[in-house]
Amino acid sequence: MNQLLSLTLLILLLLCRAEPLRADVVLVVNKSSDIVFLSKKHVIDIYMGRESTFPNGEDVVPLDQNVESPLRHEFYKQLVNKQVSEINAYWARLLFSGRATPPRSVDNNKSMLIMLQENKSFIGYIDQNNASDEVKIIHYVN
Amino acid sequence: MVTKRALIFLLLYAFSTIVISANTFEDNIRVHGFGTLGLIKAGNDSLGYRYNVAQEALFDEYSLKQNSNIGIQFDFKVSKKIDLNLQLLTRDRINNSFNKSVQTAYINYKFNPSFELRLGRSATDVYMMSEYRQVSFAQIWAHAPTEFYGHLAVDFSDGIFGLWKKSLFDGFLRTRLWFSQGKYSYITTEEIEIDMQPMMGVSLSWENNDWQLRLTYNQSYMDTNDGIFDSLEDALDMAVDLGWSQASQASKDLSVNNSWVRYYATGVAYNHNNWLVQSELGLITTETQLVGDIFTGYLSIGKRINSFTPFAMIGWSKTITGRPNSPPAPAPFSGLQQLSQDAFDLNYSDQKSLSLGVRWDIKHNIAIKAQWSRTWVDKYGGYLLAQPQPLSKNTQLDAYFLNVDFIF
Repeated sequence: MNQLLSLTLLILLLLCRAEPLRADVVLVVNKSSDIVFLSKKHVIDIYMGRESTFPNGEDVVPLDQNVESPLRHEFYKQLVNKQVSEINAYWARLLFSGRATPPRSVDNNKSMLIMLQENKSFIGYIDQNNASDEVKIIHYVN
Repeated sequence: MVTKRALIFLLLYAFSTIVISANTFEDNIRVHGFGTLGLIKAGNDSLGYRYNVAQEALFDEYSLKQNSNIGIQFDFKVSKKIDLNLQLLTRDRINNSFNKSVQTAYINYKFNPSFELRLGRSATDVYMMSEYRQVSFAQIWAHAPTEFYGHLAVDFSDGIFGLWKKSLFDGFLRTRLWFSQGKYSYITTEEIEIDMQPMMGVSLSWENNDWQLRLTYNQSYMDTNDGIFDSLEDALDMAVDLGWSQASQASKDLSVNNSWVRYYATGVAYNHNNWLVQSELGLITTETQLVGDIFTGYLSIGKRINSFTPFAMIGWSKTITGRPNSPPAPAPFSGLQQLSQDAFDLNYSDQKSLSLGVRWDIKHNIAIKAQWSRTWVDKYGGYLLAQPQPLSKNTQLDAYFLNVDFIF
């Protein structure tokens, strides 16, 4: 009986841990950018190719995580509730009809942070735990 | 030829997996591509199935050519305001010249975030998917509805295109104007090219995260050096002098030269909570008796379930001005009269279809699709299909599609 109870508890514990923890995804810009906040709608419009400027009229260049990155999957799931394949199909429509080009992909969080430090026009997303003093958080995706 | 094409697909896919994380080899130059390896089984002995009226048809046979293609696109950012674009597409065509393979080639100038001007070759924007009709990965189906897109045998036009963009409610309104020229390809026993000059039109589309709404108007002036029924028209003209006085009317009705064709279209698409609903309605009006006015449309519903998206679609196309009749003729001209009547019947449209299928996104950039389509064609109504002879009775035919679509 004790063995059965232990086994049951173990199974329940495993089931509770089966779903991976969701990352806290944040939108970040260069720390010296004038932008302090973006609404969810504005973030969606930027990453879906409908908006090419910040609210103050300055150009914005969105950056994506690597296509194989779980963070990219998490970002679009939380932002627009779509899988990466759906986002790619959406961008194929825009790209090959000449309407817009998709965000530029970077290899990882480190590359993302380096690029954001180089240019105030860039906007990217990272795991909040990886945010550094060189960038400014302007939106919490979830 | 089929084996060579399949090998090219495999090589390009292998290449794409290598470059997929590095498809920007310089900051200002980006290279992307798309492709489909599509197997189709379609047609029967009396009706040939085809993608549109500019393609050769399948009569109860398999093909890897008709639904397959590969495209590559180069985008070059010259400056903050100027972009250059070149898109090449290879697919099954009667004429596969380099000129036909250049789908788009233009210079785009952004005056400001709201207005840009494009000069050069651009895809036609008459219907919702006209600009990316060849990009199967961007669509839910393995094969777009023939009843709607089969009428559009103009892939691109050369000219000037203006685009205005404005925020409206919680979405964006895009207004596009164009003034250009193109060629409409039409297959009978050979390829006929009809000049569409000028082509001019306007499209209004509004889009937010869930909805796309659209209205379009396009008009084109048709002219051709190779008439669709040149020999028949000559024979009818001669028949006037020989005793069939109304033959001149038949000859005139068979011609499409020096006339306008107008496209009116509206569309809606909804994508929310894994439901994908899309529908378009179109009206094509002509100044010719040969083709008449055609009402066309489709409705598609799909539901995404994890990586799978099953879908159902209906489509229809009907000449609403009725079946044209060749004028009555004296007995010696009955054969010629029947030939002219056959010519009218070959250009009469009356068909409906039902399609069922599923899309499987096996990777973020690869989708496999399977689709079955049944088409019911009313007597004489097979304009969109290839007919050795006008249909003498109602008929139906099935088409089966199996695609591997990819982008890189």
